[in-house]
Amino acid sequence: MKSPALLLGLSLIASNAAAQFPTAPPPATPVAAAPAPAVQPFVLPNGLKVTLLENHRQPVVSLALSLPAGTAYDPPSQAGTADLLASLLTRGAGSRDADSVASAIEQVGGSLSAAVDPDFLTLTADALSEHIDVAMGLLTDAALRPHLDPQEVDKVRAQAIASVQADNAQSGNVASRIFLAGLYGSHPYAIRSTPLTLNNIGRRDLEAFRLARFRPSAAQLVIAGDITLADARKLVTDAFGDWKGVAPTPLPARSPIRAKTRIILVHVPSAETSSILMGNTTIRGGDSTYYAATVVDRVFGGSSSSRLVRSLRDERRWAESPASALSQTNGLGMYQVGAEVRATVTDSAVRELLAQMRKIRTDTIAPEELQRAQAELTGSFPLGIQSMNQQAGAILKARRMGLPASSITNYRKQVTSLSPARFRSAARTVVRPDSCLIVVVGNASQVYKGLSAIAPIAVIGPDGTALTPADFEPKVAVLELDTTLLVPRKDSLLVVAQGRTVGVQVSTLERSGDGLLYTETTNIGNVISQTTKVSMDRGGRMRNLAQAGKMRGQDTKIDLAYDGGKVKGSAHVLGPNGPMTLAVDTIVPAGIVDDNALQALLPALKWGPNLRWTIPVFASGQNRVRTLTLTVRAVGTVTVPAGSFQAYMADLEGDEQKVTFYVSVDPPHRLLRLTVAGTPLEFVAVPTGGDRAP
Amino acid sequence: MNLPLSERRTSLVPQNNSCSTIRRLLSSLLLAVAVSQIGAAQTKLPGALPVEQYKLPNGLEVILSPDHNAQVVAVSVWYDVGVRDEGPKQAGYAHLAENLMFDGSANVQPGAHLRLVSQAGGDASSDTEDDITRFYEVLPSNQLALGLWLEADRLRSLTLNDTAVTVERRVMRDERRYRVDQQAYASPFLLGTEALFDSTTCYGYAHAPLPPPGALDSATVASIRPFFSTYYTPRNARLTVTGDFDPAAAKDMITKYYGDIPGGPERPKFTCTPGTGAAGSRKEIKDQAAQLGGAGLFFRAPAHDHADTPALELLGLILGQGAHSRLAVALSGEANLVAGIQADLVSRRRGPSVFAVFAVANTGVSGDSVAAVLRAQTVEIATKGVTDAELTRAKNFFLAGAVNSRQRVQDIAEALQHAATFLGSADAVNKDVGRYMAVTAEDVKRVAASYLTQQNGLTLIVQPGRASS
Repeated sequence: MKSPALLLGLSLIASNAAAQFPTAPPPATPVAAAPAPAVQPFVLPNGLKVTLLENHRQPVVSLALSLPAGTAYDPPSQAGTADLLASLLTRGAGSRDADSVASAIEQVGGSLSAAVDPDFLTLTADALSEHIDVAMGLLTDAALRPHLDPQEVDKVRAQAIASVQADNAQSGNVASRIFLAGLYGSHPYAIRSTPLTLNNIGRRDLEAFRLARFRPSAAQLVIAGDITLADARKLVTDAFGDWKGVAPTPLPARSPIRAKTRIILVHVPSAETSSILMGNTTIRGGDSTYYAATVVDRVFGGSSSSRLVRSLRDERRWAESPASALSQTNGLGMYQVGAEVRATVTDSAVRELLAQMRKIRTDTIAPEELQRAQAELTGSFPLGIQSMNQQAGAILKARRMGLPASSITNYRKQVTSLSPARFRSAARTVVRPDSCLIVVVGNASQVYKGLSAIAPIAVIGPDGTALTPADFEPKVAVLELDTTLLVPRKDSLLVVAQGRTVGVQVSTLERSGDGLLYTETTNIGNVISQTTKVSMDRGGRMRNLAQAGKMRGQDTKIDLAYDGGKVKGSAHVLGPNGPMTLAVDTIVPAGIVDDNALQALLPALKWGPNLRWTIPVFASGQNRVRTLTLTVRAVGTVTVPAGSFQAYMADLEGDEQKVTFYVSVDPPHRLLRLTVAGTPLEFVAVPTGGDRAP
Repeated sequence: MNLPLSERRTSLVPQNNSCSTIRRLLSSLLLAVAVSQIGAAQTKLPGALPVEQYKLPNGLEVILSPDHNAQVVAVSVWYDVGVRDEGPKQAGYAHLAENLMFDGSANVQPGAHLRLVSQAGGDASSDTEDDITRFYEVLPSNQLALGLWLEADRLRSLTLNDTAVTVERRVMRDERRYRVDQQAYASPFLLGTEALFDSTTCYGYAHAPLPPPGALDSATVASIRPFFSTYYTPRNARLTVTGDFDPAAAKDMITKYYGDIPGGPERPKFTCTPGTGAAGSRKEIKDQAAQLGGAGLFFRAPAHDHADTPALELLGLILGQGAHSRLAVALSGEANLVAGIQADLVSRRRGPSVFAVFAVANTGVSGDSVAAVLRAQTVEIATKGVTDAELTRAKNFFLAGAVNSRQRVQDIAEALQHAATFLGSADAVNKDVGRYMAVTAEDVKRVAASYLTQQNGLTLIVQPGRASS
């Protein structure tokens, strides 16, 4: 039994220990200065610049060779040359065919790959240091002696074409393609491959490109890992000593292109969201303002806690992941800002993005915002330069931009030592809301009006064809029915709310005497249970309407007769203040449609893209005539239990709630889906005898 | 447990599948020449990792391995608890516990763990396996204290509440759906692995890592608390710190943050008698998530520290790694090589394990036809052995992997933890690779003949259940 004093003493000790445990995250300690990487540069007589980073921790060596043969050097009519060449360099070179190259690098447990960016084509190889000869041999063969076998060329070209076609189907990629073309104009950074340009490229073109661009004096080779300087010299000299050629023509330097802010709207009729991509040309990667600019970008839209995210996602719920990015190229850079938003808020989102761009230029960025951005950038930086492969890549990147290797170890210090004035200056240099290009990919019939109030605007199709408002704005159409489409039919719709089936609607149209009879039965739980009978003449003109049923337990009954320009009868309905009976005796215009009969006539309208009808409707529940508009907004694929169909999407507006109809493009225009704005309700067609399973 | 085909080892060199027999003969002749040259070179083993180990009075094991290559550190905590420790009424608890570890502790709000790490520029990761549950943070080295503190706070004061349990149960239902139910070949693979064990004598390895929907519906704070108090304790944990840090300063912090946490009870001993299970049998299963059929051979294999493990792992590489493996060559045409081939130990275990050989069938090819090829290839190696070139390629692949996992601090930490858990001690990390390099062609032939037999395993035929689009 421990004495009370001892117990007390023990509990004091325990509580002291507990008191020592911090109740808040412990702060970071100061970043220690990192020694500059001990690089050993040398140059071969033929001009090849080599940088060696010796590191004998692990028996591995990483090689990276960059050649000034990026996509910006493609002949415009053969855009895609650099990319195809990169894919082909490792598919057969020197004395080995494609399979033997793969086999050889696999045999030594190494890796070999090629990649392109706008400025450079880069070959990389990694291997255990005892097999560095094999890896260097394969890399050298790929650079200096690729086969470019015609069968391989065809294969790779076909893959590239398929890839471009798949990309073009995505609206984010459409925006990107048009943005780059619009931003860079005739600058080589705008060059993008198309199936046409890819088909223009043959083996001779690839070889000519390689011979013209692969020159030793313009190439950079980085070696990192377990190899001495003497061995590295020998390895490189044996491999590349005989490589000849004068420096290739560089890309001309260009100053940022400044044009006043303008909008390119790419019209995609089926788009329910808009892809927004905006920005301007700016500094190159090696510019002295670059570090400060990356911090500004981080604050603005470069992280999940950025200003753009707080404004467009957290506060306004317009976009899931708005973002910004600063490119890092050798030549003219670009700053871009993007978001994917609902069609209805497109112009508001563009205005807000422009406002945020103005704000970041004039604000003094708050210390907490700056520190968070700096902490994230400087904190994550060393995680990315641990392995030999990562270190080789980082050194190569610096060398390509003409920066010393020490810029890598200085990065953290540089970013943290910048003054607030430097950030403001960087923001003003890089972010240019008054001279930016705004590309929006979306449904012009919904967004054109709002956008045209912001800046000068041009509308094009995805293939670049110029469009005028006549091409996408609703065309007024005469309300005419194709009576040949008023044929007997039966449709069933499920009523769904938030994924659960809550009811059914069955409708039939049949011949009756010298006219037509439309019968619609709707059952939605114990909310609605109703049968409507509409009798019309052969031309779809109203004769009688009879509706009976229950709504929320209350009986409803409507009996109306349409004759001689009038509608007469009675309506016992559930009004805003409870059940009510209305005596109906109203003059109605020709072509009047009872609001319960509209669905019957939809299949017979002369549907087409962009049409707008004005429909006089008698609203029996309100005992008056209303003028509604039905506007075809889009054409696209709709999938319902009955299958997948091409459909027109049309909004019926002018009443309390907007109703959207989806009818099949193919006549008779079957109602496939119906949604009621502001409610979770949707009506979806289920299979009838003639449907194939989806 | 690695679910099938979820981690394909692919080489970066584009694959060319249209090879003629003559080309293959020629290239193997070239290789024979090349091999004799390679054989002459000296194999360089990975550089040794410094290892300092000690134990706190409360039982927490600590491993320190400094390395000033880059200004980064990794903080790794392994808990000696995994799927195998779940009892019949605790299916899914190991994963559930892993998820709950991120839902807050006394000084860390729910969800703040990951946010604090990413604001510091770092990354965090976790995983539940058969035998262990692991967590790590990799951070810039001036944030070592943050990493140590976050792991200490949740070890000493994890918040368990009903909201968190409800949310994580739903998360696990979703995980089960997309990782198992909707993932082609996942269910069959699990079945093949579990069927070799008798659930009454080895429930631990006989049940699924992610339980079917409904299994966790009865999990509550009250029901899962004992799981935490038994297994999430200093006595049952090992902390490893690697990278750019000063050992003396780290030790002080570790004592300060972890020293006063009560050690916890001795954990129950894990037992497993595999039983005869379904060895020697043929099973068929319809996979609702698969459009193509497939076949798998599942064999009993020993614990990770067994002398035969290196030979078995190299056998797996020879059978299934890369475009020139035995199975890739034998199955071209029969199997959908894009969907993948797998031949390896299914997971790392201190108890009886499983070696699986699996391939997806091509359109129009039956599962039985693929199974026949898989069987024939295992018999081929068991009777005729492997070539020197194949063995060299497998060893180089393994060695390159071992070297690569000693370059980044997070991988170094995991390598040390692995050695301490599965090889008996942390400093085995510097001896283990040598065991693989010492494997002979005779060893590979022998383990194929001992383990890859019909009586030691089962055949699983997968029928596709999903209509093709």
